[in-house]
Amino acid sequence: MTAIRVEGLRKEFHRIVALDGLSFEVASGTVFGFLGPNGAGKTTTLRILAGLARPSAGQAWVEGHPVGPESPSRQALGYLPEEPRFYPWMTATEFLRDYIAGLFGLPASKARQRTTELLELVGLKDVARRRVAGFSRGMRQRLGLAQALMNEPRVLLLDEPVSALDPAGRRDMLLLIEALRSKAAVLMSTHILDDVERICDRVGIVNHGRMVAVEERQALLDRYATPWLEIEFRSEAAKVKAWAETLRPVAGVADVSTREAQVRVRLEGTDGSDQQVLGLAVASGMSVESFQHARPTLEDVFLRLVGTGGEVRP
Amino acid sequence: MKVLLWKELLEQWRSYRLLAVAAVLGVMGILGPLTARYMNELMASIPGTPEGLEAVLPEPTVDLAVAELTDNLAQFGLILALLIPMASVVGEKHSGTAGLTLSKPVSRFAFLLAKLLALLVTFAIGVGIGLGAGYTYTGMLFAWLPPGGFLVLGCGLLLYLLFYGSLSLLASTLMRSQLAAAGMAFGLTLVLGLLGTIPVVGTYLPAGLPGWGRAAATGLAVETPWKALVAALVLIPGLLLAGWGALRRQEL
Repeated sequence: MTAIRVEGLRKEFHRIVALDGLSFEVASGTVFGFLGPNGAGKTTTLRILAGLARPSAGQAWVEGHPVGPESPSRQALGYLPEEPRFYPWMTATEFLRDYIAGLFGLPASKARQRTTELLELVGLKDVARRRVAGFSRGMRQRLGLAQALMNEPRVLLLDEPVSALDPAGRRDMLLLIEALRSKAAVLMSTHILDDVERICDRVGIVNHGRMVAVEERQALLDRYATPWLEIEFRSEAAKVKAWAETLRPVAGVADVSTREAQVRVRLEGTDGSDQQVLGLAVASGMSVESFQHARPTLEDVFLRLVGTGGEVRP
Repeated sequence: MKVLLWKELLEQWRSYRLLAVAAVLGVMGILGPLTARYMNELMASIPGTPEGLEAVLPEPTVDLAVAELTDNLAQFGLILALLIPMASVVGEKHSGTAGLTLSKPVSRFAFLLAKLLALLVTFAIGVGIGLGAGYTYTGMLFAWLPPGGFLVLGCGLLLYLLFYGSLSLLASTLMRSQLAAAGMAFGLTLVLGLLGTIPVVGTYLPAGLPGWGRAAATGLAVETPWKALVAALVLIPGLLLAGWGALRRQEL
């Protein structure tokens, strides 16, 4: 079942086009990784879905309801902004139990129960009675996630949910998001490609307001990841570098780079050129320490599609 | 709606706004009858006071005490009514709390209405304390007046202050910074003050309400300023609706 549907979304800020005909769908029970460089339009998309911004053209639906400032879709929605802000004079408990639960119309007993559960879940139980003004950025992000989960949402929008967390907090948060898969459709925007590889079922890569790729994570890796070879010699770096340069004219080799005695070879395809490179390595006269096919990463895909300068590379 | 109002009232309390309004209006309520009673003696006791000044200064009467009390509460109340709501919407838009709240299933109208109602409660408490203090001091220093008239004065003052509070709330909704909101609120107040000098227009403005209350408090038989009263009762919700119309179109 489709939980989020976005069709031809366009957003202009004066003359700047933030979204340019963006379309995608997120199914219930999946975690959708929304990737893109800075200014690609990720936050704008999430704000439109949360009913805080209006599209210049196109439409989006959450659970079948058109999104907007007064849309009923907000009842089913949990939204964590990139930098969640709170009333500094409220305590964490007051904010969750009395304010957020009240906005969703939860009965008092349910509000108390959910608040206790959520504070425990996000690791803020010990500071439940402390005013938010004294919270660190990481604690605010945890509280932000707690408020987004208050109504047990069927659709969860997370804008850079782990950006302010330390490594342990990041791991906990990712496990939490992963566990939500069975209960909600999660749309998560992030810059951290490792996180997407770890927990997302589908990945959408957006650039200049357009979706340049949207696919199952593994299918995307298979389709776009460039084959790499990593060869490590037991030899002097200068000799290794000189040998690496001889690979450049070889058919099927797209790029070569070296670091100390290690050579990275990017191939144009999987047409047997790896065997040719292996033969050349053995024939080099240097002792080969290791020879392996590098595992393609989402970073390879991302950089190939988006490029370092933000240009799409088909 | 109940939750939004609870949040607004708690904010008024914890940010000391309620305390500030109560303290300022309370002190002004005491100072009104006090200055009316002792101004002449105070002036006479100051060395170098020009001769004959006493003759120019008004006699301390109960009417003067009520007039001083009304002026104090209206003037200082006006400043507070413009200052208190100035940041209430624009501040929340800037900080991001408006976005967090309005991504939940609440209407933007309820968001604004809660702010107006909290303002009403704050000023009702402030005016109540100011008038209570003023009534007591007037009674002790001059004469005890019928409390019914003070109730009319309280209603007149409250409507007058709520009107300017609504104006400031609208400015806070329309503008993109607190400074711009302040400029708009004070500018509109100035324009209304100038318009009030035109007799035909002045009768429709809420500025006449404190004067009506003052007359009622001193026991004078005065005609109810229906035009100003109806105008205030229409304009306050009108300003709220105008703010809602603007907020509905805004992105947060």
